[in-house]
Amino acid sequence: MDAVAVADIKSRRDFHESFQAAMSGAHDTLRALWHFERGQNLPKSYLVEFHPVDSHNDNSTAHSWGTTEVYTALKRATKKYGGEIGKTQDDGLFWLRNSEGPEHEADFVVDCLDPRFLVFHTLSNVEYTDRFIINRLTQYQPEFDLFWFPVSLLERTETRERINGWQAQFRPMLDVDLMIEPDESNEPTIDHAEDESIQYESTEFESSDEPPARLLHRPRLNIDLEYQYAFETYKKLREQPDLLPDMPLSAVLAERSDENATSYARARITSDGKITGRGPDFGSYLQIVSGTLNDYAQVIQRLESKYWIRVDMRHERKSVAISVIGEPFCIRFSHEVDVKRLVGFMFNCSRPFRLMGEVEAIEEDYFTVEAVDLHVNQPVGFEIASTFMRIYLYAGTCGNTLVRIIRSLQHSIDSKLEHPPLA
Amino acid sequence: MPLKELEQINAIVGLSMKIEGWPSTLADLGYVLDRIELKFKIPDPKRAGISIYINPDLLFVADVRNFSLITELKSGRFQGLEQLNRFVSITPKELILYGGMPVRDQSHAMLHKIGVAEIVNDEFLIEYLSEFTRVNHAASLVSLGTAEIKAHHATLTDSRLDAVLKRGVSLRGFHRPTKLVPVLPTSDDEYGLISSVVNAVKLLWLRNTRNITPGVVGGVVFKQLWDRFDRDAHRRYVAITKEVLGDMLQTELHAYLRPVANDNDKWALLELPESVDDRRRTRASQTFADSIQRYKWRRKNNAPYDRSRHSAQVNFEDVPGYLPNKTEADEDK
Repeated sequence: MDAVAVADIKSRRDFHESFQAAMSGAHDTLRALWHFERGQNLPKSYLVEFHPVDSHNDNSTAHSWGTTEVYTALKRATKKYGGEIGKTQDDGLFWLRNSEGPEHEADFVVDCLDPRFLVFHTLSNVEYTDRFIINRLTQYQPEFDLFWFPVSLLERTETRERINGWQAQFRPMLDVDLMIEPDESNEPTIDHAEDESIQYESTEFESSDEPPARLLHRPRLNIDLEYQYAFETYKKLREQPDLLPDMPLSAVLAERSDENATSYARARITSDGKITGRGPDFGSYLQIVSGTLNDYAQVIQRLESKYWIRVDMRHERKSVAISVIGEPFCIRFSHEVDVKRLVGFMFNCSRPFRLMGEVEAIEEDYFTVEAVDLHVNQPVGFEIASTFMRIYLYAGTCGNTLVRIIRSLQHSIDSKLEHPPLA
Repeated sequence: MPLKELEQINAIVGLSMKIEGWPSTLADLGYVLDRIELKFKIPDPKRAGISIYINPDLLFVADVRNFSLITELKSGRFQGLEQLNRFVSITPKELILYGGMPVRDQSHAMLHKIGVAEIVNDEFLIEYLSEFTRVNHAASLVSLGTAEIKAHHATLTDSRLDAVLKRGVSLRGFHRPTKLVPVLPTSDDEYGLISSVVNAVKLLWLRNTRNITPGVVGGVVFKQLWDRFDRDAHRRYVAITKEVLGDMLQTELHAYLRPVANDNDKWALLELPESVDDRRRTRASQTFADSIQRYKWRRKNNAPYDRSRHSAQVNFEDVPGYLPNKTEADEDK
């Protein structure tokens, strides 16, 4: 087919052909239409969870919204940030253009075949696509959240794809202001960043005042390894706990080829749900994306099914009874953490935790927090000591909250924390 | 400091689960929490034509081993044995028939054994023990403290559980769960009830709700249970909600809350997140959260408000810039 602009995509076939054309060698027309530079023909797919704030069914993990709700929410967002959205002939496929000025356009094809777990495919410039998805849509629209892959979920990619590369990153969050005198009072304080742009520009903690390495209790780490035995190397390193104490996977490089090995695609899957493709075959790339999404969706639904805590009241023939269903999700730290400082960071309304909460001391170094997940504005309870954390996911609260917390703790507090199986 | 009733409930319910940082004494013996605040009637064995209420705090069932455990929790001083006397006379048939206790194998139903335990705070053990010994009560007396859970009197029908509790379960190094069972309108935990109202206001503010009523607060706190509580429970919780809202608007939350003129049951929420530019929303949320934290701390510690109180009569129409449009105002009606 001829290359078409995003607004001219009418069907999944149009979408597939456009992206296939880009991956197999973008031509100038396509580049102009999709706003990417020469050599930047990488398809990118942002995995985004959609959870309407007013759609909570507290007694069931089945969600009742459809593509209409997705469309309405995205229309509101594009109106707010500048842009437009349109429908295609396929009920589960939209196109979306975000435009914050003539030079800042980002085009997306939004696949909402599953209206809860969405994929925003794009060929546009990464600076503008990141800005819309990470710094606009999932930052300020509470219905939308990124996917968050704890280490065990990224490792599971190996069960679906060949892994030829990985990245591990650790930024010790509790070391960030080591030079500041600790607060001696028993009541912890919530740390509020002075500069709003710190929360605004990144999903991670940012500070230009990183402490010198000699002051760090946990090492800052950034490893990027690509070769055919890369994942075997990762496993060997992981089994040497004294060598690299914190080595959380932050991305894996997955590869898929057809049975004749004539075509292939590679995809870099990051722990915050962004997938970047390479190689000539869009079909293989799309299978990597879909496999990642499906696995994640099953995990979230399973977590909600098992860990939603709800109180039920039964009026039976001759009796009244209240029962509690569900159980807290428990995390055990591999080393004692500075819990006063941890709660200060976790509940300050900022990314990556995205939690608001009031901390109350029950005992020395044992705190309880009545928090709100700012993704869906639903309550979530915490009990936190230096060796463990209990998370009470009240019915209706999004399962994404759990994986967001685990993933964020692994990358900045304790990569070797233990938690119940996710899958 | 003695535990409050809700704290006791959470501590004991936690024993029936395998959760990090807390013993699983009941779970290890197959006990599962079946009911909280079970309330049912059985025929009074001493008075013809009269039924008596049975209202144990917690009922645990180990259906594979064919045991159940009725527990009564007492957070304060000794006040009598009336309910406990009723519990020890319940038969398995009555518990199944009137209490709705599940039975896995019907053929074993009549062999089912019921244990009864009164659980008290360590601080009051001596006076309870004195009374239990004096009347030689059939129920087990179990103390709950920061260091240990231990049985001191009588014998439970489940000999394995009895042996474990007589030996004592150490709680040193453990952290008791506090959130398994939420506050109920009937609770005597005053701060728990206040905190629940504040949490609801927080949620409603984050959800950009312009007007709230005690009923709305109750619905947020108790969800689908709210409509199933009886009139007394409603009345009690509504009164607490009004007191808390009235106090909040005069003190730490004055910037966020106002009474609605000519409507005693309605309050307006102000400075909502939707009214703030994206880039300032995180900071606005942090400021609101600080106010909530300060308010909760003061109420928890029964501390006086250290500034002069704002007028309780200044309603939302006195706030510059607060102009709900007509459509929304109509919808709220």
